[in-house]
Amino acid sequence: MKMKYRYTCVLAMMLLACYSLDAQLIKIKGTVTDFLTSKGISQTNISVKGLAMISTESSGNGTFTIEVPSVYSVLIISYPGYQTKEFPLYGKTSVAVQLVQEGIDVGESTVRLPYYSINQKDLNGSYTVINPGYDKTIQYRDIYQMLQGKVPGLEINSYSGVPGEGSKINLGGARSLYTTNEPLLVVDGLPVNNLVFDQSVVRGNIYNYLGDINVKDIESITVLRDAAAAGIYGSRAANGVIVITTKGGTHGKTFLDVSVQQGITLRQKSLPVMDASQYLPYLSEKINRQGIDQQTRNQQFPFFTNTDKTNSLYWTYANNTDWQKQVTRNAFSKNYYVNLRGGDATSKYSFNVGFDDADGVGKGINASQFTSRFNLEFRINPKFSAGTNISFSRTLKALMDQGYEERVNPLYLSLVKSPITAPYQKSDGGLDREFFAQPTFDRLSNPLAVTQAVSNDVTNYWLLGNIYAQYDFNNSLKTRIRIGLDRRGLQEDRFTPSNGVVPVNYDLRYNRTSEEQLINQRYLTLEHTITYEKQLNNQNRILAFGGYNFEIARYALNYGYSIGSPSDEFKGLGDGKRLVTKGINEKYNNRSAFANIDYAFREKLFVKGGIRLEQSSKFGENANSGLKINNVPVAVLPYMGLTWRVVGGAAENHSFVDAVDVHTSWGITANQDIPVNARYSLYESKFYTNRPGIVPSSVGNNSIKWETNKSYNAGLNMTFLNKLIGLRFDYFNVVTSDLLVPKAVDGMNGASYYWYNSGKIRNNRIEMGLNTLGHAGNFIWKVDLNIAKNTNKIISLPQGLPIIDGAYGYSSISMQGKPAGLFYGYKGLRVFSTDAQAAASGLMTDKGVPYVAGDYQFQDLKTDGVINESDRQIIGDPNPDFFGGINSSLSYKNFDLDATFSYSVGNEVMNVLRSKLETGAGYENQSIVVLNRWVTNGDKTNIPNTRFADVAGNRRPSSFYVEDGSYFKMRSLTLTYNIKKRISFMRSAQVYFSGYNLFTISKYLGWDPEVAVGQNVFTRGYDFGNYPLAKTFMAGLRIGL
Amino acid sequence: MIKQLLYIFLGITLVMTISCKKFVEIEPEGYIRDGQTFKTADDAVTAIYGLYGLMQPLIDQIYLAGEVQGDLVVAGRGADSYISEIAQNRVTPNNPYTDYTKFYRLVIACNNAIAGLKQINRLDPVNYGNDRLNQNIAEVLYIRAWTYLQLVKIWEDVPFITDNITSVEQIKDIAPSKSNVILGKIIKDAEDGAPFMLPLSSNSVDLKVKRSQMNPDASRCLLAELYLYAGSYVNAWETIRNLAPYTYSNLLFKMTQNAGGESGTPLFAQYPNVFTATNNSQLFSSYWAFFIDFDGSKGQKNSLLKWTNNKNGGIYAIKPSPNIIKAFETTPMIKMVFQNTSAGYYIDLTKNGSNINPVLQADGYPVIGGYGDYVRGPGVAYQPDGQDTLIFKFLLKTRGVSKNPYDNDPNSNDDAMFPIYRDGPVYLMACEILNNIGLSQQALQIMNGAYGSDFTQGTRYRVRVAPLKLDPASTESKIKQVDRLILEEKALEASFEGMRWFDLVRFAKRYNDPSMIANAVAKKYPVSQQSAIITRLTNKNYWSFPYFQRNVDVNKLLPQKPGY
Repeated sequence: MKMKYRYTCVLAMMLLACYSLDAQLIKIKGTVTDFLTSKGISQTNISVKGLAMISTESSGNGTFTIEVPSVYSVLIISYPGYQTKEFPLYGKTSVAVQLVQEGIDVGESTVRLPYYSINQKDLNGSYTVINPGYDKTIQYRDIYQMLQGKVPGLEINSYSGVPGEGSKINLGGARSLYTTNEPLLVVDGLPVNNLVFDQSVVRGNIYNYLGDINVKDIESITVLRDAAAAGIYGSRAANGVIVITTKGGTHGKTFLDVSVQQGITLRQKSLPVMDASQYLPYLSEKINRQGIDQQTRNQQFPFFTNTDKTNSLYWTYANNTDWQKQVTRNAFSKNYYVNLRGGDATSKYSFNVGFDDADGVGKGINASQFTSRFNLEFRINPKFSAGTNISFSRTLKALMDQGYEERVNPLYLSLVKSPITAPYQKSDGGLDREFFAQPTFDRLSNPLAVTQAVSNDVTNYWLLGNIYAQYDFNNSLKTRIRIGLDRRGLQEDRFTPSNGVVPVNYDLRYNRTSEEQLINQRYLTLEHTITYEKQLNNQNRILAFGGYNFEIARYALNYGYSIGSPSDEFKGLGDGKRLVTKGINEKYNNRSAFANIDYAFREKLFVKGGIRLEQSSKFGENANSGLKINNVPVAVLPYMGLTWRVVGGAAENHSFVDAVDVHTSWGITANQDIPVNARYSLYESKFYTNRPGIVPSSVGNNSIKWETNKSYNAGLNMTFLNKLIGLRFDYFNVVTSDLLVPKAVDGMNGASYYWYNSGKIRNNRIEMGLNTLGHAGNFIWKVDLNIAKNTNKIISLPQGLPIIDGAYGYSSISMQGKPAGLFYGYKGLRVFSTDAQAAASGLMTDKGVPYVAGDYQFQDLKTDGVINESDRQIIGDPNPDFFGGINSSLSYKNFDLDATFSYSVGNEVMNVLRSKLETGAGYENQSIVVLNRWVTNGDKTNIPNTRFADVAGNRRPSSFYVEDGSYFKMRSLTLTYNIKKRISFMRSAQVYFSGYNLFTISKYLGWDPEVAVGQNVFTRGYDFGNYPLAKTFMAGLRIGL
Repeated sequence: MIKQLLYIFLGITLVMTISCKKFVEIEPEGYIRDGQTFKTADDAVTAIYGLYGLMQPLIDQIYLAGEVQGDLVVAGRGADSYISEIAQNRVTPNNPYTDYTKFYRLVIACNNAIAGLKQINRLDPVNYGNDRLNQNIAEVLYIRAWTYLQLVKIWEDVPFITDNITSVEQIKDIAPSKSNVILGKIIKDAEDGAPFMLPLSSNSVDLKVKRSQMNPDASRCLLAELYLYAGSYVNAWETIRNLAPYTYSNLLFKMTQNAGGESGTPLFAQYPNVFTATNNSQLFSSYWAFFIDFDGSKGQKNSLLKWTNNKNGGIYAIKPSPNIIKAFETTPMIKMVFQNTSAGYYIDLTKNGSNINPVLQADGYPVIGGYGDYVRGPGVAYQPDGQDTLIFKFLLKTRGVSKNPYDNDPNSNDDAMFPIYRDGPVYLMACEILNNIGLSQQALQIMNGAYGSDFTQGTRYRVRVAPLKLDPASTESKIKQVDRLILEEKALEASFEGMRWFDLVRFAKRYNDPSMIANAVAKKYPVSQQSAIITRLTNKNYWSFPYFQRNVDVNKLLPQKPGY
């Protein structure tokens, strides 16, 4: 079937090719005016698309004449500070072109996409284009800021406030349980896989490579949201696609832009924990309940009896340390950026270099990043051109553990470290000596020592580049070969010292640990495409392209762990005793063929159809697919789209309504992020003492295949009042089937599961967007609002059984008929007020300990008198009811004021940090709410008692810690002053001041309700107490030469 | 141009169809694909080593089921909810330790190996002839039989599968078979394999290696145990009597004849308690017929040290029950001729010379010289440490070396060797067999032992513990009385070695007397809880683990056991 299709395609191409080339030139007259002021613009560059040799400039009042080969040619009009416009002639010889200033989005800018360029309004499908304008990108801090709040249905949640860590991005809900839910990233035509690395040896840290792309390099971001838009990327497009196009060069002029930014991030507000005067009575009560004898007590807690100030022991404990202050700081950051672009008639180039250095508010945290990018396009002869896009980045990070880790996590330690201890050892007079205070009775590392002596160094190199060659057969038909390389190296070195730090499990042999992780990743792609684009006549326009590509992917990870180096000065892996070494090598190959046809009829009806055929070494030989070639299964992924421009079109003019589009699309995309060896039955090496053996390690499923997304989209776009008001409405229905899940089997088969395709998830999403543009005199204002509601529902799972999974002792559940990844735990009822109450309940813990007054009472679902895992139930939903963003900007003369807000309503958060601060197991410091704890029989409170070692399991994951995480945030506010006055050597300049995360409105009790623990569906919504996003202020200056 | 286009499309067609299959067929790295192994004689060796590697992870569950459920152990302060459930005899089907998957991983690996070994024999009959094939298959059959025996001991009725599984198409659901049916089948396997088990050489290095694998001694112990479980006591005796130290040709005769006066090598003189071995070479030479070895530096770990220790990574999850400590402390000792210590007893561990002769009463019964089994008790079986009492058997690799946090290999936290067939328990197994073929007096005698160079020393005499006597007032059969005494002695000799619960279940079943297990286990509970425990354990449903609920959920043929 595939072959047949291919030959049909060849025939069609040959027929179409007969139309080409018209020798006679036709003269076109026109004017170029400003969209807002309607004044003519001089010196604009006007050229003909596909024919770089023909170009002209507009005169003083904006008029121009140009000779074109056909009345269906497309003019390209560009001028610095304005959006480049592609203007199809549609058979007319006299035209009026409006140019829109950069930063004002009226939906008509030209978008450079990997296979073609097109006017935004002619995109057939559900796209969101962010086209910030050349100069404006320079004031963005990162790519997330550029995306934040602008794309309906796109959720962006920061992993934490650690600089350079990035955010979790999701478009369209949880579509997969065990494969990626990240959209595909395409940078200058090159697909970039495995964006998120969450296996860092630095606990609680995640690396999102998206953050390594310098936002200042970006010309535009296009988010492909439906199957018609994303379908061309086939088996990677299941979660949508984000296409990034970086800034290219110019013909003729040379521009040099230099920008400098300086910023300060303020330490986050402290969480209220007990001070020394509150902590001591609490500790005393805890020790009493623990029931240790007086002698041990005097020995372990000398400060209760020793009040002799001449004794250094007195000074060791006579402190009131604000540990949160000790481990945080106001952090500075700086950013430098140089961009050089230029070119001549035959070549264009752009060279960008950026350097960013940011300290974290947590001491010991820093990220410094160097980025460079070189884009070059050149024409060798009229038919042959070539180019390259190469970027290289190097990121160095110093990190600290955060989140779930407790032993060497300075932020967590700063909350629970006893306030009576001091950062430094004390002299007899109470003065600080130079040595760190060692962990004492509380058995907690010294947080300050952790920030200074624990080292977590991460080095990342990323080379992403492609070279391409293009041959133009004629004005309409082109072919291109592109070779791309994505090469990444990540090295992580970790050392935890002995000084001031408790060893692993308090085991002295583990008092110095070194870890090292090396990762090498290589993707090589080769792609060959053919594009045919032609305005056939004033009724029919066609854009067709097709091609094939090969992808060779290799991944290697090496990990080592050693302990007990001779001293804190010896930090290397080789300095200690080697405990663990392991390596992973994975490889896979893909190949695919694809074709796409866009057809426009009278600019009223737009039809699109395409298909992608894919094979991968990950697919099992017996995979159930419609097509097999040489007995190798092929994923057949078709899509189609239809847009009807009810109002508007080539030559229409309306007073009130400018345009009304209705569009619909249907398509199949896939997710091929399946384990590379799932198809094979494997034997692994297994030593018996020192005797080498092999054992069966996994049962292969030779039917393993991609996850399939069938998506349907319908939408309506309207613009009114000369494009000043735009309204968008989209509905998506995406059903993911053949979910990749571990299919549980009876253990008598020697395994408890195997990877299997079964189950369905449906995501229904409604999105609405409203954008308004207004101008009065020198005022221009713009407000964009968007809102999205996603309804996620699991339709089926294998054998109908729920899947429970999670991390760090916390579980989420996915079960039929419910959204994916709900919190799964115990339902809390109350705190037992009296012993009689506790006894009457007849309950005991899963460790067989009877409950007493002051313990939490949990619902005994199974009514067997024991609170154990059978009593777990759904206790919360991390999915928001709806979410969205607001962007607004205001310009007055030389001033611009931009603000971005985002909000989320109805998402619940499991506040794990709070559970640790309200039910301490040992001698940790606690939140001040613990002052209201249960103390004596009859107390009515919702804070449990001080029972030592949490024997009653009060801290277990329960509804007590599930909170409403709804929020409204101001993400950014930027005031820009544009120096428009021409200064001899300067083209333009800007001064700007930005503030980030200026406020959050939320009832949430933790730092920040915006929590994201990894990409996994089963770890969403858990707040382990990462560094929160903090207020940042930044000042910047850009000078253009 | 049309020509150029044609070339391009021809190119695409070529690339997509001809280069084809190889490009999307990739050999995984770091693994061997099924079908790529079992080709050479070397593959046979690695496949069998691999099976032992799969035995290692089973120890945790064997220990929890075999020891922690029993009367000698209670939950320590570091027990998690799963261990607590087991220690408190209220295990639930959600407890992951009730999952038998790891045991079947070994069973399936055995099944695959049997098919694979035959394949090697077909492919390479020169280097891998029938003799080697038969030896290897016998070894694998014994490993599988051992695994099924553990499954039967822990879960009783379990699915019986002898097919290999190398692809998901072969995965199936099977109903559990009755334990006696399984025993019958694995006894047959073991009997078939017995002739092919090669004898051990006397090379001590070789011994260390061989005794950590299925060897002829181990296979005899296993077969005898299988017969014991099946109630074939005569077969069991015929199997075990061939094993040193029973290899006197007419030992059975001598036993029945009252062995006094027999001259020759003292049978047990060189078999001191393994845990009192004074050096490593002794430990490994001959006292352990079969043990599972571990090397923590290669990630081979069990939880025994972690669970029984309270520092250096130990979590102190289980501890000795008060009743076993009391039993050790109150055991009567034999007064020796040259007893000269203030402690009231004297034991010469060199065990030579005549100065250790016991002081005898007129009726020949030794005089009691104080109380307390201090050879097998404190310092060996358990060790007080501050407020805690540690189970010490796995905390020393050689006698007298306490764990020093600075000296020890960090891996030693979790790589204790685990004895499967050690002399003491095997000796008591022989007594049990002998008793049940009707030779109760002889069984009692070899358990008690006697002094001198001309008689066996027994597990009791070799540590100078006074002999056990029948109660003349008892109305119970002599066999049952001796079985009770064997249980009593085994608590001391084999405490904390992972077999107590299995022993209690076996004896209770033999006499269809639930009180033998219920009353014993109830003793570890406070008085207030004892009657509830007796009621629960009187119900035989609770003598074996439930099936792990997840397995029940996915296997329609595996109904959960009643009571769970």
